[in-house]
Amino acid sequence: MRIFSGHFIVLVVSLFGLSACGGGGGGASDNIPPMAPAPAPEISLLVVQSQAYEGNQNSAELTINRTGSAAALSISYVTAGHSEPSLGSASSGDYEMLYEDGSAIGSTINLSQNQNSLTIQVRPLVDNQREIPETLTLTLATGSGYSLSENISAEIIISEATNDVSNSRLFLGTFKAQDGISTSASGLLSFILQGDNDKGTLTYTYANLGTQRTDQHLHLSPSGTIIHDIKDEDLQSAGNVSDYQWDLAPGGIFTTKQQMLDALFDGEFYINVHSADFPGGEIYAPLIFDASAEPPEQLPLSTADVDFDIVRFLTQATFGATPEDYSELRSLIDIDGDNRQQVYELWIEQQFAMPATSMLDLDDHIYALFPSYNHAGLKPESFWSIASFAKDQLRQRMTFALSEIMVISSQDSKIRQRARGIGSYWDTLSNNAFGSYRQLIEDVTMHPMMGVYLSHLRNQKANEAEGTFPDENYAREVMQLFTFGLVHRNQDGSIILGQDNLPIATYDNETIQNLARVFTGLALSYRSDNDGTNVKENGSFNRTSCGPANSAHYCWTQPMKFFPSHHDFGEKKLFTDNGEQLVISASSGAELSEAVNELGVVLDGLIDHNTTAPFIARRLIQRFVTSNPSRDYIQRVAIAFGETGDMQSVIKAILLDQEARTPSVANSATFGKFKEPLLQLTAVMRLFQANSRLALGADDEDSDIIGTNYQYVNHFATGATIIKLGNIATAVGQQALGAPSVFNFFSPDYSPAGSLASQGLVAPELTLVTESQMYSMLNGYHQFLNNGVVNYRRQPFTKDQVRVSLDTSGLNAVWDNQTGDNTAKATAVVDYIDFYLNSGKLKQTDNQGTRQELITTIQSAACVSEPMCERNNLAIYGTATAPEFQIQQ
Amino acid sequence: MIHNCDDHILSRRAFLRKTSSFAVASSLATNSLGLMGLLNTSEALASADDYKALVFIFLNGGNDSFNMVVPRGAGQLRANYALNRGVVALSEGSLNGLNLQSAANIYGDIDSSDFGFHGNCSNMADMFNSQEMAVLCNIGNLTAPITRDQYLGNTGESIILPPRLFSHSDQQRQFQSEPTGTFNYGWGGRLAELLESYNNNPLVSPLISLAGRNPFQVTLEGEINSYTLGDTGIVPLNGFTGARSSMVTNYMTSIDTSSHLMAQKYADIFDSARTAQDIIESTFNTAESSGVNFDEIFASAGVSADSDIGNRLKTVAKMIKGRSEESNKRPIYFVEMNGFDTHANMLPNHSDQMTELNAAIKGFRDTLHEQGDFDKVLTYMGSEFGRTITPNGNDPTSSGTDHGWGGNAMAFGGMVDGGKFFGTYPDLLVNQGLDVDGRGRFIPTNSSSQCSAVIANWMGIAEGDVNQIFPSLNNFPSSFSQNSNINFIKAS
Repeated sequence: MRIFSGHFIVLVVSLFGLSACGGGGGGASDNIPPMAPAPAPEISLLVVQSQAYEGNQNSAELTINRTGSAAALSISYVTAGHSEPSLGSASSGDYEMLYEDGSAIGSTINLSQNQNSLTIQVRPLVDNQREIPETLTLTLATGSGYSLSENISAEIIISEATNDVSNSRLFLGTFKAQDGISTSASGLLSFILQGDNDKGTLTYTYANLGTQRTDQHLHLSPSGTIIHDIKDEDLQSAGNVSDYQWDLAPGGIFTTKQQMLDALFDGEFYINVHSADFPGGEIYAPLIFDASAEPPEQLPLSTADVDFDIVRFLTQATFGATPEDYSELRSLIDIDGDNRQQVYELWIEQQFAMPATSMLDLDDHIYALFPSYNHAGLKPESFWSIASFAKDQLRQRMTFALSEIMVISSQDSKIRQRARGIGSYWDTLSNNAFGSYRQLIEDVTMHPMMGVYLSHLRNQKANEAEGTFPDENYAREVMQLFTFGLVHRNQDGSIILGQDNLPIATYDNETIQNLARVFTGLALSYRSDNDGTNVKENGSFNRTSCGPANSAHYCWTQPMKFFPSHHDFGEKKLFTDNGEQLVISASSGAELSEAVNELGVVLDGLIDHNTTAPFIARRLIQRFVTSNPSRDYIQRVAIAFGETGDMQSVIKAILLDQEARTPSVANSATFGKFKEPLLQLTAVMRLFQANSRLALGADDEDSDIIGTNYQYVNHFATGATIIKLGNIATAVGQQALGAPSVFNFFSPDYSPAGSLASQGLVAPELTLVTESQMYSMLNGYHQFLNNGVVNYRRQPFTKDQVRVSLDTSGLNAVWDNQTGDNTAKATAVVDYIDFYLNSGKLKQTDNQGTRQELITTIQSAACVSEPMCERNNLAIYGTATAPEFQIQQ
Repeated sequence: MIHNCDDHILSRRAFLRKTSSFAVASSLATNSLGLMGLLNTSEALASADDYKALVFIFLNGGNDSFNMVVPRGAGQLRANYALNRGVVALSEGSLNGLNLQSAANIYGDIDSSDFGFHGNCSNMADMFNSQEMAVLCNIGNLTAPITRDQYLGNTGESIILPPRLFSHSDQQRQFQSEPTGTFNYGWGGRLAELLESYNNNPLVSPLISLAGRNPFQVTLEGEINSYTLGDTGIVPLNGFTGARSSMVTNYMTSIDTSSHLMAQKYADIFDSARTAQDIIESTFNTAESSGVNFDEIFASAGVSADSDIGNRLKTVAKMIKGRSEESNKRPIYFVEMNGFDTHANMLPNHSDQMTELNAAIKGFRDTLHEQGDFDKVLTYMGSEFGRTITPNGNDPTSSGTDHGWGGNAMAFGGMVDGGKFFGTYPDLLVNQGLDVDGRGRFIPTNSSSQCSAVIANWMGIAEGDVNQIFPSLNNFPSSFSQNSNINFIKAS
């Protein structure tokens, strides 16, 4: 009965609230001074401003005029609501009627002597309730001493807010299969409710229905009662629904619009789509109010601006923009881009809802397919298939970003030899990518691979007799790199200076020694027999293995546990925040639960620390959008981070921020970031559909595709194949979870000497661009384009089956479909690649040197020998290595 | 020198235009000795003797150098070592003994000159004993001389410590520049700028890195950029011919000051790679046809084919041997060896590191002798910090040591006053003397900048001018005074 709460009562009152105030009658005659007979004055009522808004306190305004005599008068009136009971009527709690001087109008409207007109203000009262527009009808009544003109009635509408875009509210939904229905259909939905709550715009898109759509309805949950039929004849197209105006007209069990509004905000409506095979409905999406969504900024955007922005968004949020992803977003976004923020947010929400693709699962699939090789050698390969094809792109991009903050690295042989542990570590990051940073830091801290990498696995309390001390490694890096960094910062990331005008250190060595004691007593939770089988609980603190290389290595995939006898339960004086030092008091019991609680308190303190939010915010903005975010941008993301690190809010704040979304930055010589080589390669692979002959899915007898029947193939895009890049990863100079040290591939503060340094700008990724590394990257493209990449760990498959090559049929289509001469065709090809790989920046820039050079070269190149003809080879090599394409703006 | 921003950009572009036109000249003549080669050869002949190269081997991660240079014998120092190293102490018998030419200076009231190098460093011990190598004891980042009481705040004095002690990234940066909070330049980069008149090849940078980007070679003015070689030398650019080559070359030069700054940098690096490639290729060709068998010398020194440090030093040796192809007289090489952050498994891991380092040093030393350059090349080996004298566990195999402060560095070459310990070796005691917190993190007894200044002076900076590079040295006695005991270069 939740929907009948609150407003229903208001509604009852207003339905019966046709109150007659004053009511005329003889009493009024007392106020009329005895005077000589004069012509009875005539009273009229005029509307000056009929709209009143609760939100901005704009009042409606009426004027009363009289003609004739000048004596004081009391005018009677009655109020009423809307003539249609299902629509909104204002009740006495919704407004007050005031004279110009602000005094309240009582049961009559009083005109003083000689006053021929007066203004009445109808001011809305703030009630913090969500209401539909409410009508107040004011009608003058007969009384003594005056007569009424024809104009005696006025209608005022009291609304919650104006229909400015900034007052719009966003409802989001993602389409899922209805209960008991097996379908691969999915989609996105948004409903933008205008400020006065009178109506809104419904947009949704879906794909992959098993059979043709038959009906679509708005239903009430959970009963399924149909509330509203979305009729085909009202739609602009037979497919997706865009800009469908829905006026919240009562339907189903509801008899008033206010009931509808309440149900809407309570999340009780859903849309479903029926198909021929599933007449009861195939997919459905709820309409969920999203208070965090910012209304879109009203910028005059050209269609091209919007197009470019869509690709920019995809470049920021995925491993590379593709025509498919672009088309999906484009179909949802208005020509002028007005609703792009909502659509991006919807897309983000859809990404949140997708099941996480497990790297460890895919690793295991690959280990099983290539049994002749060590896990350590095969381990890096799964990343490329995930980056190229996984549907949960944003989650995997965030995972990659997190893997560059909370680093473990296969460059360390202790890590490399525990390949299943690496896959598990990636999944730990990915499972927390849209959770809380607080949980993430706990899972990372407890992960045995981090325990190996930063050596707090089997770290034990000090032993004075033997002169040994706890290992300080993790204690240092968890502060310096994973949470708040070296110095105290304001919420906008600026450094706080002490009285000596120097930065204030967040910790000193004593803090590290104390914190190191928190991370004592952690060791493996599981053990196994020597061959890796027969997994059981581990009872020995000193155990260091669970089976040989290439075995299940179960213990490396499960969180560590405390061995209380090795944990230091003494008092620990830790870091300071807000002038308050975190002190863990000594525990007498030395119980497991106390060690666990202590860790929880310390991790709470690390994440809740004032500097952690801006510190992590800046790092994540750098990974997704720009190397040099403004302080305001950092602050906005830090606010979204909050006290526990709300990762969903954080990624929305990063990607939807005005700084990320303003198209004008494309003309800036400093905004954006240098694309790290790994992301450059994934973007090229996604655009040109890099593929092998080894499908994740089933055999395709029409082509030479070999199915590997991966059980989670539905987590990947259609046509996904196994992408083994082997040695090309060396050419790239980067491999996921393979940084040179815990300091990642590059420092967030690296600033190349020269114009960047002199302007105080950093360009972290440029660390990786050296003469030799640049050549090696160009050689990687050369290899990819000329022969494809064949990894030698290919048995039992043939070279041709594992070969990864690019598909240039799309480029050929662009060339063929372009009318005109070769220059026109070459221009189309260059602009096509520029659009997807570079958000169209090359076309927009003043300096057309690179674009012209590319066009000139490509227009005269031949295309005779597929799969990679000279023209396409030049087009891809030329764009991928051009300076303009290295920058993500 | 402070540049106006716009001037700076313009001058940089002007410099690149200059190098581009040179590039055309050199590529026209690649198949012969080449115009540039001829010019450079004649210049090299004119001043053939005046060549000095610095090779800085950075031991990344914090080398546990108290297990590289280890006390022996019956005295107090060895007893202190055994007590505080505990399970990670090396046995006396395993060490390679050293014959010191003069008594070592030990902190406190201890006399000892009985030391050995790590058991896997026999060739380095030979170099020390034949007076080719010196040990620089307990150096580290310091802004001013400091005592334990000052560090602990017991004296009430206001002292300035190097910012963010014990942090890898910060101490690395400071070891390669100065112990300050803001980073302006690396001392190698600044040295190259001050020695610019010696380095007159416009196409090849005097700053050559075998370890990618590094703070050491960052210049103050940004006009000279370091050039990064691959471990085994030049990475050839495959398939860079015909339309592809002309297309890329043309659009790289179309980048101008209106382009994104990061795109400009990318184009600069491409220019640098292209313009230097021909000359560096001929440098390698000259070296490899010189009769010095680099591979054989390194292999017989025990350097394995996959040793990064071995390959890098071999590449440096070739660059030095083939130098007649380029005219830089004061090249500065940066070479790195990773893997020293031994928080766990210190004994086995450090032992492996020592084996690999020893072999690489032996190979490099033998090659320099073979090619007659041992007197012209100063090799300096240091690390961002030493490690705690005390271990962090009670198991000899799995235990490690944590970040410390002072550590022992080394230098070798014909100019080095070898067979001696410079600086002051710590007493290795905890909770007293040099230790700051009970773990045996020792306050350095000489600052790393004092050592670096000695090197800068050998390269050509006057004694009175070294403080231009190292302003912190205003707080210290001169590196060249007797009392500092750190001038490890032979008197000439």
